[in-house]
Amino acid sequence: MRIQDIRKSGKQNQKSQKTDLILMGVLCLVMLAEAVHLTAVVTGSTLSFCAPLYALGAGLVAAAVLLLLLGRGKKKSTGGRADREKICSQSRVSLGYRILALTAGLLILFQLIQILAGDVVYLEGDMTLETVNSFLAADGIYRVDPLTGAPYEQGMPLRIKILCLPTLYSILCRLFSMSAETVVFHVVPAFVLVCGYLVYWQLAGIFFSESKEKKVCFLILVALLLYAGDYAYGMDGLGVLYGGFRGVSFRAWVLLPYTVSLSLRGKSMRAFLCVITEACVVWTFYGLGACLFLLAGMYLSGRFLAYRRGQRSEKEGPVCVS
Amino acid sequence: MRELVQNAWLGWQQYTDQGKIAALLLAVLLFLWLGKHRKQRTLFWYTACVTGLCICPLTAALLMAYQTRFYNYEWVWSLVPVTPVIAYGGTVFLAQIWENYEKGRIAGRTGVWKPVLLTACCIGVLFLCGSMGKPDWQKTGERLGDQDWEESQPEEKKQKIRAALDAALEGKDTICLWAPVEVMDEARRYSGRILLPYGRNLWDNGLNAYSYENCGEDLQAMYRWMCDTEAIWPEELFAEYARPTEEEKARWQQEAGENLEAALENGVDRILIPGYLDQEYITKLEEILGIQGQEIDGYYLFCL
Repeated sequence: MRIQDIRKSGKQNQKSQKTDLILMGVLCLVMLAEAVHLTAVVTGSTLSFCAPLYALGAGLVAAAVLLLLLGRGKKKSTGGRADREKICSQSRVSLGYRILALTAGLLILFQLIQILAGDVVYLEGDMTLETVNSFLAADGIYRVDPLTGAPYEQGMPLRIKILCLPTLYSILCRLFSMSAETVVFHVVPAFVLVCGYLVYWQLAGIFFSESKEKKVCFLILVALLLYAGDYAYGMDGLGVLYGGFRGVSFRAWVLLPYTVSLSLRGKSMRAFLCVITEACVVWTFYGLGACLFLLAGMYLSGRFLAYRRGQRSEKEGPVCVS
Repeated sequence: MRELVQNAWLGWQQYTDQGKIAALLLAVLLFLWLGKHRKQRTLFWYTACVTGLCICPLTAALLMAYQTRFYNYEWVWSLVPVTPVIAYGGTVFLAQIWENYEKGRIAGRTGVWKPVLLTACCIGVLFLCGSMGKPDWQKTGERLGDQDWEESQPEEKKQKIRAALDAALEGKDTICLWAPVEVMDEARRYSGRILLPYGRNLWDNGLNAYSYENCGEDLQAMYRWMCDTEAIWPEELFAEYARPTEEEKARWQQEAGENLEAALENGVDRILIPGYLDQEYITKLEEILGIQGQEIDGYYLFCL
């Protein structure tokens, strides 16, 4: 392996670690919301009690992530020759890369603007906004039926009741004094979009570590696939652009690609965080969801390929060098 | 299990009816296999195997069972990394085209038009497999004469509904509202202070999975009556033979009395009626309720 390749893979690892820190931070925030939500459901606590509790926990998580990021930033800076090399390499960025990067940036910006300023939302089969409004009006979790505002008589399935996203959105409304519609239909989907692109940028680094142009081209194709795939429920495009507040959209756009990324980098243990997060945000088979299936599938696929390689090298026999 | 297999069979047809992203994925997998682009073998083999499992009805039914009956067929495709693999295959393909162009350019052989044309074709194929503009689920609304109500004025209609809701809420902390479907659809999203006698699950069946609450027969009758009332368009829009008869009007009036009584029993204190109803219907409602309706942009409001 050449020295330049070693340096590139080292830089790629550092960038992946920074993205990992941010994404792990996001997963921790969701799991923290789940803990607060379950506490409120079990103890009957009010939203006014949960919001500052969550704010405290989220502040600690954010501070930890920031400190770790700054710590990595300091380690990276070796000064002198390395910095001069970096400045020289940046000035050699090709015109093609600049055009591609500008295209990718514009596409992502348009999508962000569409989510933040647009008014088209896919609402069939969803009652997130009603649920958040109910939580805010009743200052509590699932005290009334979100669809009517009347107290529950028959109750609701436990597997829906344990999901934390409506509580998280209600807490955000309380903490930042924003309307439920703004948080649910605009702020959260924009955040989910950005998180997803971080994951896909990480995937681009894994697939095309040798070429910046290919990485950006990958991102452009992902952005175009979102536009092309907005025709039906279940497609990534519709989920992210018109329903980013849904748990299934977060799973499809962030958790599943991140599980792929972690599997490909051999960090399967961290991928279990994705499995747990998925159980917090979507209805699963007692926690067994798509992330676990994907993780198991990638592991089996890797083992099968390793077995095939082993068989092939056995057949070929030892190589004799005369 | 038989039902699941049937759903899987029909689900695949519906999944590929609306768009061809699944076909694009198969094409990409074929390209990666035939072109021997095996750098990401683990991901390739996983994607290829699970794609096959999702297409075959028997295995798709098993995957649907694993995902629980809460989800429809299309969600088994969330197990397939469709977007990453298509984007990866597309990038490899485009990189090949442009690398060949670079080699040809250095040798002084190739013009730039060929890779540009191929890139444009790839992007064209990508969009041909997708929605190509406004997808079907965004096209809503009924035709009234020559005018598409919702398709042409979605934002205006939403503002009208919200103005009506504001008028209904005026001076009260909470209200119990009975209104046409489009208004009740928006009411709980607009404000948690608006209570409803029945919920959106009556016309959006997917929401029935979220609770065990049942809707009584009286509430279902109220919903049916309101839907019938919404369907009473102004008479001048219809030919004479299509207009409501006197018997139909009398039955409507009788049902109005029964349903308004049921509404009062269920705690309703605000009623919104479509503003396009002919005056004779509004007059009959005012007689039954004993109060005058207040005309708001597009609706009549009765405060009980």
